[in-house]
Amino acid sequence: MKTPLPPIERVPDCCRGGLVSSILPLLLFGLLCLAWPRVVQGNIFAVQWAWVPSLDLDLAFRLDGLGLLFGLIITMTGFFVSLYASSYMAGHQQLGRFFFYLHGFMLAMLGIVLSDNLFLLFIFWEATTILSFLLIGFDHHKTAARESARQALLITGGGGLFLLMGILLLKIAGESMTISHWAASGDMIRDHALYPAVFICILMGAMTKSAQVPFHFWLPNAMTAPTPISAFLHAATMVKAGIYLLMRFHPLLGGTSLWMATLVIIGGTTALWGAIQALGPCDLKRILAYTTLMALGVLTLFLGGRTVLSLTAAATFLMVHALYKAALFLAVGSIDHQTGTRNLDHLGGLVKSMPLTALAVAAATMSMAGFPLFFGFIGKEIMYEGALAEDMFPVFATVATLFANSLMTAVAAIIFITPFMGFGRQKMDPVKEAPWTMRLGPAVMGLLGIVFGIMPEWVSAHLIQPAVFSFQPDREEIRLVFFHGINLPLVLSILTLTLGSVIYRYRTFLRHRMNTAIDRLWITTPGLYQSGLDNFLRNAGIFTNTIQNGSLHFYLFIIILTLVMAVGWVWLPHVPGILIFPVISGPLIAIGLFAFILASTGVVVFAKKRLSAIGGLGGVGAGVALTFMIFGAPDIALTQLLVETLTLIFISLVLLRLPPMDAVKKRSRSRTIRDACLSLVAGLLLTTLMMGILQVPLDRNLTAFFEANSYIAAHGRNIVNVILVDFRSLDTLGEICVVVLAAWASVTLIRRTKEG
Amino acid sequence: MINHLIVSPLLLPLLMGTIIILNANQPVARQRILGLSSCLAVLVMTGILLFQSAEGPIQTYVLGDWPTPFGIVMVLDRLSAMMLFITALLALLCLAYAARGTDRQGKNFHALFQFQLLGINGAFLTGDIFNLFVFFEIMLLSSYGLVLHGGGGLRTRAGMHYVMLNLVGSSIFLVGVGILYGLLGTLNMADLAVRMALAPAENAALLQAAGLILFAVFALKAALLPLCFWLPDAYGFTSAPVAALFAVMTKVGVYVILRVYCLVFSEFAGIGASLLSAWLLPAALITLTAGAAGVAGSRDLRRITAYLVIVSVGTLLAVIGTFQREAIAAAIVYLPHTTFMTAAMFLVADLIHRQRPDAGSGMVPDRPVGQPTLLGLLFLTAAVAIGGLPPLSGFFAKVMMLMTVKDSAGAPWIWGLVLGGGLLTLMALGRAGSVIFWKLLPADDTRNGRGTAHDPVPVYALADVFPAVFLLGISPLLVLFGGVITEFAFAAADHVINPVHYIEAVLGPDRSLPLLYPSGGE
Repeated sequence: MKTPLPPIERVPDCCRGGLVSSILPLLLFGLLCLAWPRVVQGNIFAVQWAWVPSLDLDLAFRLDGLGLLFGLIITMTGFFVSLYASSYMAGHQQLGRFFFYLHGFMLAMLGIVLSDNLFLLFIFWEATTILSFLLIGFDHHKTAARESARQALLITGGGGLFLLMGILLLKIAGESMTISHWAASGDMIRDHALYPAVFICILMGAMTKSAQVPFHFWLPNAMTAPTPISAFLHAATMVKAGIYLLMRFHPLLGGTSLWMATLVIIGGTTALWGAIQALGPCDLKRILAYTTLMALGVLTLFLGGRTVLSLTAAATFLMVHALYKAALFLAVGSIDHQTGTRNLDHLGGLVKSMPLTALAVAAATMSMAGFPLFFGFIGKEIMYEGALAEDMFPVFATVATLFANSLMTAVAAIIFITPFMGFGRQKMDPVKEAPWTMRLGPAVMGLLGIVFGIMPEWVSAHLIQPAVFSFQPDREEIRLVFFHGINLPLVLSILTLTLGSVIYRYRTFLRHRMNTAIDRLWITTPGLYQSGLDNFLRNAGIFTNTIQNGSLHFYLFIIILTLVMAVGWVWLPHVPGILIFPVISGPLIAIGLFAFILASTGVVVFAKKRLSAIGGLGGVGAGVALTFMIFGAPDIALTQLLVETLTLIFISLVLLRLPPMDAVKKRSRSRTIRDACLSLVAGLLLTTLMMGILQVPLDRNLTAFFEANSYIAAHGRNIVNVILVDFRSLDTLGEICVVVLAAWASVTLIRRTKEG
Repeated sequence: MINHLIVSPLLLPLLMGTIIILNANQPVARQRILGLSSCLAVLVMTGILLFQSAEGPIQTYVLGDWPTPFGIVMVLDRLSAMMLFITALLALLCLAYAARGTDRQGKNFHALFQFQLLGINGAFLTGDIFNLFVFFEIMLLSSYGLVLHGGGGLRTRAGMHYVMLNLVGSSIFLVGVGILYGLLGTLNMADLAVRMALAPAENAALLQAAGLILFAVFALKAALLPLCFWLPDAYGFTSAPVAALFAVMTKVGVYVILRVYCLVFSEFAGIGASLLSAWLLPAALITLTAGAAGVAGSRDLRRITAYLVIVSVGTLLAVIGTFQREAIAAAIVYLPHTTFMTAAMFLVADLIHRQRPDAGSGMVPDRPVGQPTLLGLLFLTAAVAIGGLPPLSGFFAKVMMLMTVKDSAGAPWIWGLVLGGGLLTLMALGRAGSVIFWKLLPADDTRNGRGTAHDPVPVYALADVFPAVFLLGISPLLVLFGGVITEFAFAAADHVINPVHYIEAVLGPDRSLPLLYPSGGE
């Protein structure tokens, strides 16, 4: 599981840098605590600076009840995790980088929950995506770490794009980008034609981030990260960002039957699937990851409701879960750190050697299982009340919650009893208790679970209600109380504990059954993801190599084909008209020349020897020069002849050095026919285009000017020369450059070929 | 008052290029000084021009003072001024990078570089379509020389393909220009626009054919599918500073498409009106998709970056293909970002390449690079910028593009493909980064493929990484000055989308009337 620890005496107990850097979250926590009383009274802290006005992007931050609840969770766990990591990671080579990422991540998370501008929120959202990529891949020498990091990047990054799309659609629909301006406009959006698209996009963003089925699988895989990171990102904060998003959007998008049905079904499925799978693994961290899935599913399920009751249930369970899950992750990390394993089969009897950790775990698991006197019990009561009060599918919601909770109870028992009370199958080496930095977090959070459980009214008034009020405008008061009297939720709670203990009793049997059942599933999302990705990458490679096959002949063929198609599109209908009445006028010698040029072209194409091809080429050139001659342009004819001669010499020099043509591999017949057809069509189009131009009288506008001004203004008798050196001298200068460059490039090439 | 400054981006490289040729046998150091000072001077000049264009109207410079449309005219509007400035800045940084050793790998690097600049600047400035052909030729020949610089079989082959395909493009260009001249009797682009609006209907097919022929040529330059074959090999195999400079070469094609099809074939152009409105968007979206597939399917960072150039061209032309003012403004905002960032990625890939002697920039495990923190940070910044993630410029440009195309019929396609392409880019760069920086062979592993000891890898000083750092630093600057840049882009798009400004600046007042009143203007 983990590389064996180096001898304990060489590793310092904690690194000072980590200790010092935990001041940052503590400071932020303190600041939030200062603002706390004012927020409870209903005051709101807000600051705003304009940034990119054309985008409606402002640097707008706002602290309300919901932001406060999340902010307190983030900074508190941030503090304990960073304290913890200063021991857990001690001796690691890249500590500075670790704490930089960790605190960067924490600030980005705070940014998400404090942003009052949607684009700003998105900026922080993407920052958490990138930082979580870097953090999951932190132990990058492990293949699993790299792969999980990439998987998380792709899934949450893709979800980020959906979120962006949702934000933009919302902007198009005319909604304000300032979150606090939404209060009154929910109906406008809910009736808008774009509503379903906006809803799906936002939901995709939340589902990928908060690991809902079918995007859930990245979360258990992300457990390859070092434990402090799992505790911070994948239990307490980042995965809650999706939940936060759903809460924020609840007043705007929530309450429709689309919203309720989707969220309840997705949330319920995620909760059940996560809870069932939590029985499977032996790795403690993986078990915890599946229980996190369950918690996220339950939260989504309750956010599907629109009553204050179900929303209060969501907010309460959010706190319950953050407290016990972060404590458990850190404690499991301690076990791992001290014993070198976190495999259930190898652990046992740790209560003697790690008593304080055991106590913290006991408190956290009791809260998780929902025993009375613990905060989890309060949470469970309100959960059942909320589930019964759902608008859509209350029975499904209640049953899903009941089963998920029972499974959680069983898993809580496994997590505490097996490593601490039971006996490992192998004899374990003597174990020391973890250093204080690693004990403090679990202990405090476990203790808070009890304190909050005893005084739910205070928590309710100071944390839960202000949070719920900021995204539920009805302001209906729901008080958490210690004892509700004997009612259905209480019965359900008792049923949960009973069912949980039954499941615990038959855990080995169930685990076995579950693992074989999952192995037999013929289709799973992780499998689909993997095979889909592999297929895509392979096909992208094949596709690219097919198009980019390195054959110049192929490239030229496609380019000419494209040209033929583009031009043929507009010109082909006119070709027959031009071909039917060719204007054969002019001297007989012109027709003779035409035949000569045609014949020479034939020689070039069909020649068996290079020398005859070159001869044919010369024939074409001479024919063209002669054409100029008989149509009264002797100077151009002369130039043409000169150019043709030079070209011929060069071509002969090159071509005659190549191997003889019959030695070169013969092209296949079909390819020759294909090439011939394309050439003929291209030639036909080009010829008819030229013939088409000839049917239009030449515009003599420029020519007239040149004739009139050559001598008078430019002082030259030869109009062509004047055009070249005066009227359009820049062209000539440019072409001189081209000739020089061409000569130069050839010399370089030839010299290099000789040297090489 | 004639503003002679306008031709300075042509004269300076021409002059300095010639001087460097005359100094061909002198030490490289002297050529470097000459080349760098030329680039610096061009940067200053184009900076002044950019400033002037932002404030004032379109300026023209008539060569030989022959009246338009008979002589050749250079036109400086906001878009061309911006392109000139981008080119000058990029050229200076690429040359600074090359001056750390690349220029020693073969002869004549510095002279070719100056002529390359001459060609690019000329293409941005000229208002004459035949003159554009000439500058294309200069660009092609000097870039051919630059592609081959440093030698090697792969480079020679890639260069061969590059020059062959582009020569085909050149001959087609001549055909297109020939048809236009034969029917309209002029080569001046503003004059072409006026005469196009007046052309009789029976010439419609010929003129449209000419327009499509020219489009094929420009699409070849811009590397639009299926005419982009030359790009991945040429950019992937040539030396890094050359590839980085070439990031602006495809933008020449984009620029010319924008110019010609918003001027000569604009919506006012009578029979040639809105020729590309049905063609450009689908072609660009297919290009974008194929480019993204190439990005995902490549196993080498250099090659990934080459395909990123194709993605960037596809994105630009898809947005331009809507032919709406706001969208063009968004494209003008995106253009500098994508040019600088792909260029930076080429340089970063090369920095990585040189510190991984066995694997180069390929995605196979190797020993760690010599300066992982530095290179990792550079790579991460470039990846975030190119992937279009906040808070760097790619995000803002992308959002602006998506918002401005929202009313066009192709909006869902543009949205889906631009965002999907972004995700594939992110995935490919994530894979590349995780292999290069994370999947390591032990640093003290002394066995390599040949079973001999490792060659020592270079350790970079500030001057080696400065060009890449500077290029990446542009991204936050683009964000910081987002407001000013957006304003400029909208003003530039005004001049581009409405041919009247251009025509009246070149030909004189009231000459654009035929465009506005097609029936009774004359």
